[in-house]
Amino acid sequence: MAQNPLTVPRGERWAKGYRRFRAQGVLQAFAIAGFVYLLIFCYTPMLGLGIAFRNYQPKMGIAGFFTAEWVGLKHFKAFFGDYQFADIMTNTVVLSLLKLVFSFPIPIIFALALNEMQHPKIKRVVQTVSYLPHFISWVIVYGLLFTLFNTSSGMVNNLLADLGFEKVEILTGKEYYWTLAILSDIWKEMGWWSIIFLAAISGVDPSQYESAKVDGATRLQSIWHITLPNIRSTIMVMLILAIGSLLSGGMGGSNFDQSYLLGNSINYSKSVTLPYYVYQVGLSQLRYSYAAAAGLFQSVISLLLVLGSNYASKKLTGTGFF
Amino acid sequence: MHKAVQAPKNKIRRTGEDRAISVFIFVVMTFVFFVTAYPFWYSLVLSFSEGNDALRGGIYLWPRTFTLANYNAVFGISYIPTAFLVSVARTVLGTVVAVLFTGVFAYALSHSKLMFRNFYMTAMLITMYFSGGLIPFYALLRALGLMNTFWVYIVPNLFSSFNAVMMINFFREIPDSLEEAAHIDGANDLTIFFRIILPCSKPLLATMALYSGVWHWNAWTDTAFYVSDPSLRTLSYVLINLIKQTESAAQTLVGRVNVSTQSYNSMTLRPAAMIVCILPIVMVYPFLQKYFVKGIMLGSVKE
Amino acid sequence: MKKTWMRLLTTMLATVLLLSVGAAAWAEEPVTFDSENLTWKQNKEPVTFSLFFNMNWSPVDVWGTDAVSQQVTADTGVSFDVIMAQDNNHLANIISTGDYPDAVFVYGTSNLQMMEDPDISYAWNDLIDQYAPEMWDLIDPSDIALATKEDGNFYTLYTHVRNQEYWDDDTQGVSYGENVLAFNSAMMEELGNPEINSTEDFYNVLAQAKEKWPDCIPYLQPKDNGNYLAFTFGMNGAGFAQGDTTVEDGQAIHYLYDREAVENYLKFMNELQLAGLVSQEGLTYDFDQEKAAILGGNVFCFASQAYDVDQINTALADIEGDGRYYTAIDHHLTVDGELRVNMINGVAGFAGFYITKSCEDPGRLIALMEYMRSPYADRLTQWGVEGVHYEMVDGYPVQDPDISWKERGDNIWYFQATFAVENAKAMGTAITNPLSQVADLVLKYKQYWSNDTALTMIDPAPTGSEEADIKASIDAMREAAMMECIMADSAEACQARIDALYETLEGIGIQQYNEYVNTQYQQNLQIVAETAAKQAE
Repeated sequence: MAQNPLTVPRGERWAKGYRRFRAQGVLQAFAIAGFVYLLIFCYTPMLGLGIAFRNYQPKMGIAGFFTAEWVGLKHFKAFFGDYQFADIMTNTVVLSLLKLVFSFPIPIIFALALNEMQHPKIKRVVQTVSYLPHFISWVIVYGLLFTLFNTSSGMVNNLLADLGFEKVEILTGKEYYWTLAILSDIWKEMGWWSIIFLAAISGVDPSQYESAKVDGATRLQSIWHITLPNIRSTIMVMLILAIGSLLSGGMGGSNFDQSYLLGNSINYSKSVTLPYYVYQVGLSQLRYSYAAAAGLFQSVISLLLVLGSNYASKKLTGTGFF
Repeated sequence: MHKAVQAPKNKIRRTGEDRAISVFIFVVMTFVFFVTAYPFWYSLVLSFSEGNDALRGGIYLWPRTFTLANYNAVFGISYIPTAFLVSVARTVLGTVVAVLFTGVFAYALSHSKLMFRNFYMTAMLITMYFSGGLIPFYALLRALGLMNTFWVYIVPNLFSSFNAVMMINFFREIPDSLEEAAHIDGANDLTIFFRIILPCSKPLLATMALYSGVWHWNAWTDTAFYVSDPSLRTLSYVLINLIKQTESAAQTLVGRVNVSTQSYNSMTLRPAAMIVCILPIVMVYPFLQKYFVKGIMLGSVKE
Repeated sequence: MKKTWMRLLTTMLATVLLLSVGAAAWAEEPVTFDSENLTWKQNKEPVTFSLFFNMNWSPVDVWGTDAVSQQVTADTGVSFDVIMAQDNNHLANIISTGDYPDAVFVYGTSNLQMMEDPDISYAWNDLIDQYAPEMWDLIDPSDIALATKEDGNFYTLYTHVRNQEYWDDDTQGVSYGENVLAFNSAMMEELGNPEINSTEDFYNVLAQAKEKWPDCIPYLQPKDNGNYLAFTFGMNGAGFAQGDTTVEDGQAIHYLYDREAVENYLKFMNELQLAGLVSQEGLTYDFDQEKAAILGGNVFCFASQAYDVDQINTALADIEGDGRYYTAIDHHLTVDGELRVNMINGVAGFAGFYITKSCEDPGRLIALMEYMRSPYADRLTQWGVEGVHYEMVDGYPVQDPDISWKERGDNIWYFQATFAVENAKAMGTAITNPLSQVADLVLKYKQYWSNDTALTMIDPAPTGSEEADIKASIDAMREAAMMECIMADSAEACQARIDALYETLEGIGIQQYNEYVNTQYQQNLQIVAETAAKQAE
């Protein structure tokens, strides 16, 4: 006779739980090890978040985290009330969404395309070369863009002038920044993030492809009906993580570096993003509490985005990472 | 017998659509190759160029004034052999330890029946987005006695939430039947993890090792903030330091007066430093690449 | 009996008095940097201190590998374990842990402010009194006044101070970083070498250049140090050397508040932009990019620092077959017939050396400062060792080009550097370069400058105060906002944007900031007057 859990005496439920725990002993040990690490290295420093609600000065030391004057939401109000805040949020969100829409599918498509290549040697070479841009720092990228596009001796503009067109202010024109940012982001990260998808694709059982071929499927159909569904969970997890990093500019977190390097005072209204602004107004002026408040705001938004997209993913595709 | 009858049908289908796809892919890949290889070639060319000359512009395919000044500056950094060894040590040890530590955690959490699973997940999730900042972390490292030791490179980096999420996802895909069969044979979870799960996850491990290894190899901010002993510096730190110094000297007037006889500047030095840093990675990568091959899991599940 | 004792006592007293007067007369010998009884000369035992150092243009980040630091150790016995700053926040992080290094040598207003705190640093006046009292005679009182805080103490003496004595000395010019304009000589010749005395002349010659050579960049003005035109229109404080405040009608204000000057400058730049006479991209350039544009392109006129004109000409001379040469203008322009240039020195100094409360032997460090203040150490730490690294030519040091900066170690450990000695080295590079113009320029531009000690004494607003927040907000928005005005599509749009800019400034609270600096300024004027009165006695 099955027992109604609610009528089972509490002692017995505890005993049952304990037995179950012991049965999973090794796994629990694994999980607790990680949890202890998180406690020490992540949660203990998190106590420092308190300075977002205080007037903290570095000379107050660690004690200052707990004793500095409490000012509640003052820094948050200053942050939201800053007259540039709305523009910067809009700019950041729109640019990041564009990056997500255009940059996110590309590593997947690239991985699929690589997978379809017939010659193993060429495939290897292309794949190796494709991730090299990940290692080229944004500063060098900017240097290369400068050499190509500058209006005084840049190759592209010289070519335009020779053909009779007017020179284009690519590096400072407001209308070009978003395009430059998105394209350079794709170029830089496509090869690198495609690796995780390649790993996922290589885990697909080849016999599925063979039976599909026997049934007469074309390559495109194989990709659509076999490969993609098999790597669906990887795609969804990466997507959720990318949405979580929306404010920083996607998986590569390129918003800050691009604002700093490709941005300048002329295209400022289109190039300034939240991470860069927080740096400009907060940390570089040693306004620690203000920067902490802004950082806390960004963290909350990112977490909400992750939870929201995880929920949506579960509803739509049945997988998420939670 | 069955296959022989099918062959002609397959061949016909191949010529049409398959050829189109092959051509398309070939074109795309050629484009990708040049677009990603050229900037690297350009950096190589710059690294052999003279400073002022590079500023003039117009160098695209070959150095105009060939010089080894940039590489001399890089290899002339004091402590660079030590820095190289430190980086290698930290990358190898740090990666192995991190992949294992994160791996066991991820393996545990890939079981949906794990008690407190949601709690562990939430705990990890929060740490992915909330951080207390540099000052508390600095104080923590001091309190733990990690400051200015080699272990400051390893211990705080044992766990990576991003890697954990990826690994949980991959481990979930491994059929339960494998595990159940092993349990019946009397194995405990530890044995299962090392003898069965890990060998099945070679593409995943290769990827995690790559991501983690490259992170360790390129990491320099921990050296910058937590290490003052020059013999514990990493390669990427000393390289970035040289670049920052060169650039700083070029931007301040007093610096410019003092470096007026230098034949390299940050424009040509940076690519040289980058190439010195990338070369080991590019040399190691082919050993990992063989794991991204189709059907690596073949043979593990015999239904 | 009593009488004898009394007489004995009186004699003893008289003798003691006579001896002490005699001794005082003996000690009345003036103290100089060469005196034998200086504190730093008494103790040369080797000792090591920890030092935090944020000048990251230094090619060395350890003590003892370069000639200068080796010489300092040989002279005084002092060595340092150096911690090089990684970024702006590094010092703040170190301070927050309470684990201070023994000494801190930094530049940058916020860093100086952080260290000038009795909880963190020793007050030099206390240290001098305690360990090296003769040092009082070696220091110029105006340097002390400049560094003295509200609590009456001074925690350092700044480097590179340009005090009234410096300004009054006619042999000293302005900084070799003075913002100037330079014109391509060959192109100017083809235009007939027109005189350029006013902004109208300037506009016209740019228009002529554009007509004659449509592919050239008529005027290149970079992001930093391209402030010649701004100064022409009367904007003061726009450059690094002026500290963001200026004086108008006897009141200290934030330099943007001088609306007339700012507005006229922005409108003029807008005119240039609308006529295509100024390179749009060039407005965002740093020095390397500017150099790249000049070397690789065709630039008619550019704005830069005086020393850099020589650098660019030297680089051009290295290019075979190029032959271009840029001549700098040696005067400022008039606007609508009147000269509006009004540059006021408003900066106290550059860097500071602080002795923290962690230091167990502060006496040794204050003695080191005594050593550093001597002209000998000044030259050593900024030029190198005479005969080895440089030779004196016409009173200026000329350095040996074959010895690298890393080996010399000058301009790194210059804890009590003076401005004159730094400038002299730049002049030294000019002596051996026949194409050089900088030596002439620094003298010619001096007429446009004046010194205002009260202005240089203004302390920045403490971090966390409202005024500091206001300044931070202004700093974050001004560049982009001013660029918007310059980039406007028409003169009306430009005016509208300027009006919007000033509305925003009012909204941020620029008036409050003005009041803050002005209160200090008025107080400082009194202090300066009092010090002058005392010295006159």
